Amino acid sequence: MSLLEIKQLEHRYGNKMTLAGLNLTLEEGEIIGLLGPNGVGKTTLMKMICGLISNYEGSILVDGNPIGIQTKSLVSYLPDQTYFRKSENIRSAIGVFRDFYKDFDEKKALEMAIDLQLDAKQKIGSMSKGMQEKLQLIFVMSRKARLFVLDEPMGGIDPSTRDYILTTILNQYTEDSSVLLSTHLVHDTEQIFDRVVFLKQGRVFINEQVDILRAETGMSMDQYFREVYR
Amino acid sequence: MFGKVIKHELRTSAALYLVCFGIAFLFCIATIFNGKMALYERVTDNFVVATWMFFIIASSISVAVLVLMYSIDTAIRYDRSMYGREGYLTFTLPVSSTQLVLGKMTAAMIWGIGAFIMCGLLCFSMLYSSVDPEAGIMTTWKLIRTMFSQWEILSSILLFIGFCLICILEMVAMIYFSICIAYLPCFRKGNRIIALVLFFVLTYIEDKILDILFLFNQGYQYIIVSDDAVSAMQLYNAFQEVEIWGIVLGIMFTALYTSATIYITKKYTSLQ
Repeated sequence: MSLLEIKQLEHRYGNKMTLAGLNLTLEEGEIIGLLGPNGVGKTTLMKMICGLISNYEGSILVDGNPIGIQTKSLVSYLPDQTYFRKSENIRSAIGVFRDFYKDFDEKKALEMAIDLQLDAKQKIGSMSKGMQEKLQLIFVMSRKARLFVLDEPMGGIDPSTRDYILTTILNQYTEDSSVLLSTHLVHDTEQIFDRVVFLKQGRVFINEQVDILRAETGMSMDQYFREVYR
Repeated sequence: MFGKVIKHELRTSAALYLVCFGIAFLFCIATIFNGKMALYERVTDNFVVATWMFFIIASSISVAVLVLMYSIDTAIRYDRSMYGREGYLTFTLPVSSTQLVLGKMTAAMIWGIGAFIMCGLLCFSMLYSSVDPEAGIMTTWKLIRTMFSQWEILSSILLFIGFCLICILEMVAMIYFSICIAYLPCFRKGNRIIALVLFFVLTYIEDKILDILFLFNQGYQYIIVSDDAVSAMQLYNAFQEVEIWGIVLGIMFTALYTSATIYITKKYTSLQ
């Protein structure tokens, strides 16, 4: 059974067709780069996998289950914006994750927060945007989820912190899980991808192993991305 | 998970409500004590009378603000936690739409009961501090005890409390329903304005429907057409019939709004 199985996925936003019969199957044990220019449907697809958008045609199965309570306990999602309340502190945010996710490793989350020199009593609203994004990543990656869905985890983050984020992703992900990561910073992230999925006109345009693509095209993924979407 | 939704929902608004309840409570207690000094102990000092007046106004305003704040906060909390930034966490929690909506509704109802108790305390503080001292405090308490010892009156009071609580619950359900309709994928802009307008439109429509439905209630008809000759007991019975009818209709409307909200949340959620 595939970890993620998407069949004939269609979605409209107003008059615009954002996804037009998208098919995609992902197996466990891979880090997959979901690539494409703005407005191609990357974020919409991720939101559907995580249950944030439910008005679509077609089917999405995570570990054989349709989107619902069971899949939400298997998927760990990092959106492209922060979702914690500003008045909340790190400890109370941990409380939310601890209460709702059985696979949340509280000890690991606290250790990683200490690594970032964050005080558990510090209000989230008093942190910089970059720090809030890092904190959110820590929470998301502290789960022993089957599928990590990371939407632009490095958007708005300085180059020195990008390495920290990539290291965190690599350290936390295990072989029985997969990471689906969307980004525009292909150059910075391509070294961690096992596979890339290129979207074009609401469909999967390319779904291939990175090593094979590199060998076939003789280009890096960043160069190939520019070539495809030129 | 349902209990956890309630727990986190209560925790989110706890600081705000506890401070407001505390202020309203202190003002009500101060009203009682100042009224007691001014009336029963015959303290004619201008300062005491002025302070008493101040506390009557302050407690009234604080409870009015509390009720207003409750309505606004219920709407804002639901809007933010479901369709704002926080929605990205809310909808990815392993919780069903039913648990989510009912959990939030239960938490809102708990704060609503708190606000209702504060209204009751305000009424008591006003009554207590403005009762005619010539009648004597013991006479007042005796009257209250007599009232509560009679089942007809007590049942009427209990029905009235039940009716008020159902009204609060229905208001919460209507707020949630208005917001979830306003965030349907067909509405892409001005969702909060749409929710506000929809809330008032629903209130108007429901009012008209209730006007028609109450025509079938005998108690209501009796109160409308009754003259001075009717006995107090007949009037009590008529009021009780109206209250029961009101509670039944309130439960029906609450169930209707809640089930529609759950269905729309489940089928048409779109955090675009």
